[in-house]
Amino acid sequence: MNLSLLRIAVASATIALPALSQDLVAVKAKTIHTMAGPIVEDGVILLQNGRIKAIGKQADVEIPWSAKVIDASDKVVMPTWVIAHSSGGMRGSNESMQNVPWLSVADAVDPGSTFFEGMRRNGVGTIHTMPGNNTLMGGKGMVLRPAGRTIEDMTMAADTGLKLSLMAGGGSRLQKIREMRRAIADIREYLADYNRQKDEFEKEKAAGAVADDKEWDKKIDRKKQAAVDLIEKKMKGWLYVPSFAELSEAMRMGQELDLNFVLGPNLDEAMAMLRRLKQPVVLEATLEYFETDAETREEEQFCSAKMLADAGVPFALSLGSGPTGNPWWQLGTCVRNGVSREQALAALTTVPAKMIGMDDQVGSLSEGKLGNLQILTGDPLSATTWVEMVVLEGELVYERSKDPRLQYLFEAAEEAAAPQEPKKEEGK
Amino acid sequence: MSPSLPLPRGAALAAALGAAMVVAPLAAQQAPSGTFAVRCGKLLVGDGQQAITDAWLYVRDGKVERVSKTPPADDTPVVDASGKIVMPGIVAVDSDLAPARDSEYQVTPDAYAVDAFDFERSWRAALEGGVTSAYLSPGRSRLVSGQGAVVKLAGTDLVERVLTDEACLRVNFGPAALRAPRVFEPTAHPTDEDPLEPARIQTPTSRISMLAELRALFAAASEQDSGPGGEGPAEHRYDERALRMVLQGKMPMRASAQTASDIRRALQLQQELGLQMVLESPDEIERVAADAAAQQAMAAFRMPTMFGKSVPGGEDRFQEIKEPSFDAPAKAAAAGMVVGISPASGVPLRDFLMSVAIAVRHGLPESTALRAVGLDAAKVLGVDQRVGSLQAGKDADFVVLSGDPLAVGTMVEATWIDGVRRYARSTDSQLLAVRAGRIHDGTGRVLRNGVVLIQDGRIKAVGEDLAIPYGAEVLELGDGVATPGFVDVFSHLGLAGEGTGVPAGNPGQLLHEVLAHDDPMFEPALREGITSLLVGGKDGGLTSGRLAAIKTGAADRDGLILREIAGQRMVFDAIGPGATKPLADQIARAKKYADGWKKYEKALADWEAGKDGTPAPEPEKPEPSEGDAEKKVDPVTGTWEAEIVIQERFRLQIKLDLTLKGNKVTGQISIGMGGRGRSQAQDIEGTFENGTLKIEFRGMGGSATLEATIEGDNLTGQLSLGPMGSQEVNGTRTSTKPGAASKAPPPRRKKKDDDDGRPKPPKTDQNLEPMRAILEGRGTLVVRTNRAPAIQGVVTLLEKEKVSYALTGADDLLDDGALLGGKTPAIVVGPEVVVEDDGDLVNVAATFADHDLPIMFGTGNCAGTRYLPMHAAYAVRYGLSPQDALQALTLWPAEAFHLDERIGSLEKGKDADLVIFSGNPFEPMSRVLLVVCNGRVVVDNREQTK
Repeated sequence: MNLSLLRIAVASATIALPALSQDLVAVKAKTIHTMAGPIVEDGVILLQNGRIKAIGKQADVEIPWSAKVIDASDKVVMPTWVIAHSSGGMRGSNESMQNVPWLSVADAVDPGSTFFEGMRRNGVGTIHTMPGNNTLMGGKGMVLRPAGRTIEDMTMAADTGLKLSLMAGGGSRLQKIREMRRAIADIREYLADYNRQKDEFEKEKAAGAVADDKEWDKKIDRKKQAAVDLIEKKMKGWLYVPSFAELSEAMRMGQELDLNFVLGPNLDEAMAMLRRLKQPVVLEATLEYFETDAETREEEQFCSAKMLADAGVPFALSLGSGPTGNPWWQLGTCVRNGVSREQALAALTTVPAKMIGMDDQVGSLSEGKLGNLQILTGDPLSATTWVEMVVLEGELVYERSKDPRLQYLFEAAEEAAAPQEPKKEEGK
Repeated sequence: MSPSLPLPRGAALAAALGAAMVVAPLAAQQAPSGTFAVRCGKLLVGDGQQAITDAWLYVRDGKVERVSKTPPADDTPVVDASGKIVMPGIVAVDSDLAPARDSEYQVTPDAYAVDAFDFERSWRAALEGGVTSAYLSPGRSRLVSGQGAVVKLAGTDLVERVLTDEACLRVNFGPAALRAPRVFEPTAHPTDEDPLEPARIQTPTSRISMLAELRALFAAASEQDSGPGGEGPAEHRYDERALRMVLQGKMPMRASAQTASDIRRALQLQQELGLQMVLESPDEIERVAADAAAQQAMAAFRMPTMFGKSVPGGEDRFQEIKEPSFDAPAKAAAAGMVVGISPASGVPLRDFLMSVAIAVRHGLPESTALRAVGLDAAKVLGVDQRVGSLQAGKDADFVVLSGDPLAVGTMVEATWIDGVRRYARSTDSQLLAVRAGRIHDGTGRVLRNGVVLIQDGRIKAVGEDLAIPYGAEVLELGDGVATPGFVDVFSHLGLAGEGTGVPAGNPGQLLHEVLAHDDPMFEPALREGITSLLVGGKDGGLTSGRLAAIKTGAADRDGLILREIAGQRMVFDAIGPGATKPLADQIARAKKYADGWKKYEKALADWEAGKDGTPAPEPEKPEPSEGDAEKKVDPVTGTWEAEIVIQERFRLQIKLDLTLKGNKVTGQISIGMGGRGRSQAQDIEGTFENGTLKIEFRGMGGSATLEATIEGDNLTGQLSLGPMGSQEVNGTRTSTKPGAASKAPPPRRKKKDDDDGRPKPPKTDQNLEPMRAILEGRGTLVVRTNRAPAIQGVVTLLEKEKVSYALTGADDLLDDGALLGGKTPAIVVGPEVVVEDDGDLVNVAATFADHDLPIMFGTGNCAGTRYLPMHAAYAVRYGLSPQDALQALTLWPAEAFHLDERIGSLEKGKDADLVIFSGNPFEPMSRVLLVVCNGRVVVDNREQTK
């Protein structure tokens, strides 16, 4: 991805956002996981204009008198999670036609979706939203923050990549691969034709056959623009690779295009190939799977995160539904299978931030980066830890004490529990 | 060149994956690589003509270097396949290894079958069948479904493994090509210029337009730079390069055509356009074979036979079923076509060669059939430059076979691809086949060139020239003579003490707990072919010696014990009136005891049958009141102390606190080493009748019993401590007060609700267990008796009481066979089988055998057990018929001890115990080549005798 373009997009988005606090905000914390260096104990983070102005020990960072102080001095503070690939929060993430590169998730995202509310509750601050996996060339994605009333409010970066998928829904693998090659070849042919026409025009103009004031004004077909950008490596492709079987084709495509891979869980057969992956990848939400050995008939459990860690490939995690929708569950699954804590935490912070080209903005806490923080009651890998508050760009977007859905849940639970108390006494 | 053209696929893979992709090797361990030589019993070069016996196949860096009769230099690693057949790795001309579903589109010549192949999977079934290269099909239903590929089925270098990814262009001349679905291609944003169109029909829809359609496709493709072919959205149009390659003769057309008319149509197109062509499954080739051969069309057949699978069809006479054409390959080959054969879809590739054998059954010459999976198959696929035969310079893909390639039981021993062994038959095979020149099965039958099949420790089959099933490990002992494993009916093996001798026999000895399966004493006997023993202690008095039946070559405890109690030995030489009374009494006691058990078993069966109903509660016996025992001083109640010495080393102190109630004795026992604290006191229960105290308790790793007589304050008797045997006990009463027993909490009784009315088993009396087994037909009483009246007396008594018995000794019987009164008990002879009597040699064994008495050999030795077969041979030297000698070592003892369900002969279902000799078993020069016990090869001397 062209980083300078993205920076402009981010910068403009930042300016366009209203309600950004001009004020100073200071967050006092017991423990700060900066993800950009050592853990800071008894630290403070000073935010100004939605960005981190200073971060350090409470003794070293002076809190100005005008700052609004969030006192989390018994809590853990860390950057909000970054999700490198998600198809959540959309009404219809898959077009039923296979080759629709001109579409954008902007037209499908529903800012009112409970998905974004859930993301805030889980401490997610940056979501790279992409079309679903069922479409050969599914359209363009964008980076969103899960707060805002409109898509414009939420946008951190637009047109961040073109979604491609090798998932053979209904057809066979070889036909899907063939279609992908054909679709890309078609764009190459179109572009070659366009360039040839342009060259002819320029030649004619140079020869005087065309009036001097006439300029080449034929635009690239709007339906093909995104795919042309992909071919010209102006736009990154995000290729969904459902299993090991499609990996060799994916790697072959990676020789010609600027691609990020989103890998399905079934990878054990391709361990050797994984070692040749030179770039970080996104893993699908299902991290563990079982396979029966064809020879021994023994069932074996595999963890895709562990396999990538073993292969030395950095990876980003994604969130699914059910238990895999919780960051602590995903991180715990990694650690349980032998991935280090640091690697697991990086898989939801620094690695995805780098993959979406925003590692200078999100994913870690250092001066100048966006003030995206989550305040946790404890260890981020623990199931009993709650996200207490979420601050996005200096603005408090989530407070557990004011979460209506949690309140409803707990009130219901308390009510259910209340009438049982006298019974217990009887039992005694 | 249009940028849409895919890179040559091999190059693309190489670019993507780097030079070499490492996939975990399947079975490459313990086999040479690089440069080595294969010593072949027979080498089939693969051209269908050359079969070289005792050949050497030289392999260098994955290629065949040469084939020669000269052995290699000393330092060359050698793979030994002597006695085996080596043939080229099988080339499958068709397969379903790339599960390629068809596109909905009719024409997709730029689809590559290789894209659907899982290189990373282990194709074990194929390697098991010897298949090293296989054709991959790109889908089978559409008119032009894509390009086939040929890949190797194992290897680390993915680029090398693709022999070709453009093997052919598949064109379907069959009816399936007429049934392509309609395709709906909506436009995303319909406008007047780009309207929404209805679903498009794909042609051809009938046979009449098929050729026209194909001509048009090829014609369109022949125009260079015409852009992608087809209609519809970009991803569904196609690159025409493959069609052009077919037109230019660079790639064959693989024409799928089953019926004669479809084949004709394909031949028509081939002729018009001048194409190379391979016909796929041309089942009705017979009528057009001559034309096809003239046009040099080749054919890839699939044999329609299904093995072991239900094949539906024909249930309705009006239903049309396609008649399978088993002879199509034969007809095509006869007409001169090059033919390749592979099994039908659904037949596992491990049965590849059996499938091909069906073509031979239907008229294909055997040499052509072998070419059809080798060189000709490679020609059909266009990969004969690299695979298909073992000629110098080609890939070292070869298969080691156990026998003739097309024989039913032949198996693939090993499969090598590019000089690396990728499959080796596992050596711990489930099925063992022993082939011997002669098999004496023990029943008197002799089988020439016989085979014994062994599975799960049992004999699966015995027969002459049996076909050896696939996967069986074959032990070839072509000149050997096989007999059942020998039985020594009296041995002490395994019972020798350490520092002490074999103990005297005792009916209560729990022999099965003492014996260990890995006792090294068994081995010398096993080496002589003795696989079963009846072991017991030394002969002693009237009730001496329990016998257990065991195996000498068992792998574990379960395999060791043939039967825990197989009989009892006793010495009986009393003469005179009433001489047989003690024996009769003993039998009577045992009968009573056995009846108790019989009743219990019946009650238990009844109880179990009536469990759902309400069981009648057992009447509670009135117990004497607590006070009774305390009032009068009785001979038992009190504290008794005794000391015993075990093996002259361990001194055990025993303390008994007993209370007598009626004739029931309760209390506690504690046993301990002197001075160092007693073991925890244990509850005991017992009886006191006629001055004899009997107590049972748990202790010393099993159940223990104390049986003693009480006179005054003195106690004398036997303490048997489970496997530790029996000890003399002498004790005195140190107190007459009820001791700990009365203070101890009352013995725990089962809660009422646990008592479900289940009948209680009688007390086990280990001393009577052997007799009970004998009475129940699970054992035999072996009586040592010599004098004529004793013989007469004992035979009369045992016949009357219907006790299963055998005699040993029986000296007087040698002179007077009439002593038996016409009965024919088995006689144990040995080790002295030939005795000198007044200067005459008397062959004891032969004499009894000639009286039609089944004889058996017993050594009564430990180390001497190994000479058992020599004793038999000695008897043969002096006149025992070898037939009888063999029966005496095998079937007769098995029958006499009621073990013939398990041992004694080589028959289906029996234990696989057998011995193979280099010659006649009773020739002193014959060697034991092989001993199998419980289905395991336990002695293998084949190498030493070569």
